[in-house]
Amino acid sequence: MTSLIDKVFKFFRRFKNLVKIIDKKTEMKFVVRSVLGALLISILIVLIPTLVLVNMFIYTKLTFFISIILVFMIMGWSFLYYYFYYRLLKNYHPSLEDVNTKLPQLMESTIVALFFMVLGIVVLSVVF
Amino acid sequence: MLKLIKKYKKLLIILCFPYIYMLFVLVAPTQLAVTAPGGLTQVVDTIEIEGYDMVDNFNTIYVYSFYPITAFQSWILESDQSMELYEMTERQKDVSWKDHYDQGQVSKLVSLKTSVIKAYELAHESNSEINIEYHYGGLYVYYSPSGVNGLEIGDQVVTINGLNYSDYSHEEFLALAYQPEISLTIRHQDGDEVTFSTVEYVYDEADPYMIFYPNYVIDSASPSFDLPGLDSIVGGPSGGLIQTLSIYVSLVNINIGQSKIAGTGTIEMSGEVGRIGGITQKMYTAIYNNVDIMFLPKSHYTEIPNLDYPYVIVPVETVEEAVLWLNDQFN
Repeated sequence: MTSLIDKVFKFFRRFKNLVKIIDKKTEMKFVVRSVLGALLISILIVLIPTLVLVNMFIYTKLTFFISIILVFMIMGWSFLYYYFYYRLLKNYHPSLEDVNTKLPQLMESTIVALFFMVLGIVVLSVVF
Repeated sequence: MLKLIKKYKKLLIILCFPYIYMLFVLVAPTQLAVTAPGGLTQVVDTIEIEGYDMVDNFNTIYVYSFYPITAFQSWILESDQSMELYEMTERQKDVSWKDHYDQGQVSKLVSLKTSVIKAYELAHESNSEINIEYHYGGLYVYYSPSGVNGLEIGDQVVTINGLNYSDYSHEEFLALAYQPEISLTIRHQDGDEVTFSTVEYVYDEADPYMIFYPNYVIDSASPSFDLPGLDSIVGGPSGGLIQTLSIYVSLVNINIGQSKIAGTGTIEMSGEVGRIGGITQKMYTAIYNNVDIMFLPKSHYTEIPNLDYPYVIVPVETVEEAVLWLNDQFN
């Protein structure tokens, strides 16, 4: 049990250190550009499948099922967003190539995806 | 970012065209509308009568109406027999979604009041303690062309060209409303606040006709009743017949057993059962919801799709016919 808690703390320390390193090596201007770029690319990618699903709401028997798929899609969008965010950030800051961005990328994606999951569950339970 | 765009320039240009096309197909509205199967609403949730237990066998059927739909939706629905795809009517083009909702609520209110009156009158024949007093109260505005200022859905017309509703029957007063030039006195109610205004209207051939519903005011009823169904978002007049039957059966205490009864058709004060929209979708909805008996207006009987119906279909012209059928079956 103690070793598991140690592992979790170690993991978080590593994550915090990596974020600190990334913050040191990046400039605000390029972070903003990366955020906007990642938002644009990720939204463009999920837009068409999302619109297909929204159009399918016309099948009233499938509304609950489609709503669940939509929640999963929004959760998937967060992974896509962080993937492109770090990709663009590395593009602007070649010095980040040596830094392990995989860990913060997955960590942040998971936190945002979990947030969307909770939000989705709340909305679905209110609507249905 | 620019580096990446330059790197994938050719691919992006190629993908750009189908992407925009797909976006257009998925978003741009067409001039089409669709009616889709919906569900059942138990009448027991719609009406409460003091001292009586409402039977829970009766269900009204609602369908969904979507408009305008996208090109993508029209493609996927084209081959679906349970959906009805049609060109949007002039009135549909002229009203907003909120207007459409308000129209549903107005027609539901009129339908519920008519159902109560009709059911009490029918029940009075077997039990003289059941009574209802009502009077005609003019017209409700259900639809007016968007160019007409000062008229809102749900407003009440109390005079037409200076003539008051109290001197006319509904049919006579309604006929006055369809004169080419009219001056209407409107009673507008917003919560507890009541205001009166005058609206002048000259009929233009380009305008769709206005639509009005009768406003019957119930003065007293024994036993008293409440209409919790007015708070639900489902609207429309097509539950009239089945609401009337449900109230009647509850008042005279006919034992329906476990039968799940559904039906559709408007109710008129004369007892006539009127036509409704989306009959095919309602027949499908009844199949999906394992209904045992289905009432429908006789005039729709020849229009229903040729399916293997798992329920008994009872076409009726009047509510009295439906009552007779129920008495024959269950009494």
